[in-house]
Amino acid sequence: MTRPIYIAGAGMVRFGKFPASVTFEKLACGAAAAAMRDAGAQRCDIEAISVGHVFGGPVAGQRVAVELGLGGLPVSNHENYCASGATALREAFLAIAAGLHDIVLVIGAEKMTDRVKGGIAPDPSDLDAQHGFVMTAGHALSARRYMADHGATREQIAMVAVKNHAHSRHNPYAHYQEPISLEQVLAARVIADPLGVLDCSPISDGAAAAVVCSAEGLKRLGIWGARPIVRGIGLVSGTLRNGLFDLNEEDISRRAGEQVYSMTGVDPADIDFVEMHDCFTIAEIVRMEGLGLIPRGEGANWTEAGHTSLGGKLPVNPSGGLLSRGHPVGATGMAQVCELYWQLTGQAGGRQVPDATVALSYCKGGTVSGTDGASVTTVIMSR
Amino acid sequence: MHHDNLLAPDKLEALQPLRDGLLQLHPPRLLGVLCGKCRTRTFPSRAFCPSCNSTEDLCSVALSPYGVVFSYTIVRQAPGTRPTPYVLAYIDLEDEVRVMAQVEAGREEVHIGMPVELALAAMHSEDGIARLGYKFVKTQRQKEKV
Repeated sequence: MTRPIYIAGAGMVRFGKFPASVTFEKLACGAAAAAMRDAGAQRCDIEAISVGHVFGGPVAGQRVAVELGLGGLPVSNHENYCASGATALREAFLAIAAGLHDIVLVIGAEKMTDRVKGGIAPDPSDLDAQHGFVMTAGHALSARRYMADHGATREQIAMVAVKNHAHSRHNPYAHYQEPISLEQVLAARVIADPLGVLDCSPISDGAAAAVVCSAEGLKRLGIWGARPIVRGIGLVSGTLRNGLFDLNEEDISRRAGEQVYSMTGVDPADIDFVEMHDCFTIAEIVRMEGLGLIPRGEGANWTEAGHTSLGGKLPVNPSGGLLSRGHPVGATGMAQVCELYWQLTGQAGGRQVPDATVALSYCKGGTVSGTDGASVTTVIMSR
Repeated sequence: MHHDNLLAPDKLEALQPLRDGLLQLHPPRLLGVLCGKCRTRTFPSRAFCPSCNSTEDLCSVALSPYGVVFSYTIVRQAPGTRPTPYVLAYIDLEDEVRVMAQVEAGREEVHIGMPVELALAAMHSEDGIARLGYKFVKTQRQKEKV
């Protein structure tokens, strides 16, 4: 990359279920204000705003900009379903790399609880959706096949939820902050078997934001200390799969991983922890394998062995992940970036990964019939 | 277990199809594409071969109605108005094409490797207007391979 790109400050509002009076704009403004405060940025410092969201409606980013007193600036809206937040970050990254801006505000926000019921699905025109495909069903098909192909157990898959809920006890921004037991996950109401409701990330409201800067931007903000560097952002889309493909091949994850490893020069072996898009328990397992960070077919064993827990050899989702931090879809990518920022600056409290130096966050958004997914982002940051 | 209606053939055939070019009625078959260059069969048809990217020598082909369940789930909660539960599955057709569809089978009956065959069906739609589509049912065919 031509010049380093930094996170000068980050902020979130707690994820959860809020009344209708807590609007999309309020959530987004709350996160933006927290990030700007953390960065020491005044309104006059911000040069552009990128906003990721899915259900915010037309020009939601501009509605937020006006409420922030930042009307007039370049504002862009980004929809890549659950990868929208990280896609908005990529816009800021590109603009700063191109020398267009030095200080950009990035916001991921979603108000879901008053407009989404019973889960999310692809666009109604999608051929799979016409047969009744919903996100949970896709992951249930994946889980059943993973169990058949790799001998993984239902219990091992459920342990992802137990682990991530245990992690978010220490995350004040998490939707859920209480531990859950394996028995609770196994006994939970079935949504699409073998997955129950605790295998699914909740429908949440929330927002997360960061102030993204060049070195020049940091100087203008009066920041002389170190800040985490965004080393690179991968963005790929799904490809059509032909014949009798391996359902859990995760070629899209492999490509997103290789793109960001090659862009940044980071050796995957040097990654200290991962914020992984665990929209469903099984998804954490197969996507970690797709990235090449866990050997194929070993993800469930790694979970059971504690390798992906805090204190394990590769902690996954110290924040609690989507399962427990919550999943306001357009906000998730930026919530992951907030977690990377806090971890890499040693501010993660009880969930701190010791000496975290290099970290990766991964989002996957949407599906397109016949492909292995719609949109995957990979962000690598280092301190 | 809820299933989209298996109506009488004449009632089914009066429905608008889910989309054009997806299936033929006599006999009921999914319509895929056979690539003359790499011989890959794909479904649904596109203007190129997803395997070798060729845009020439593509011809419409009726796919085998027979296959086996590759993976399945019983969906008990879904957004929108579609009634639950229903069995959703990937079906591996005999000619090595994988399609997603519902399977009409009880939860004790459905399993990985279950032999199934294509059936025309009235498909649920959020606008309340049923459309002609397909699902899979337990195969009526004798065990021996054709």
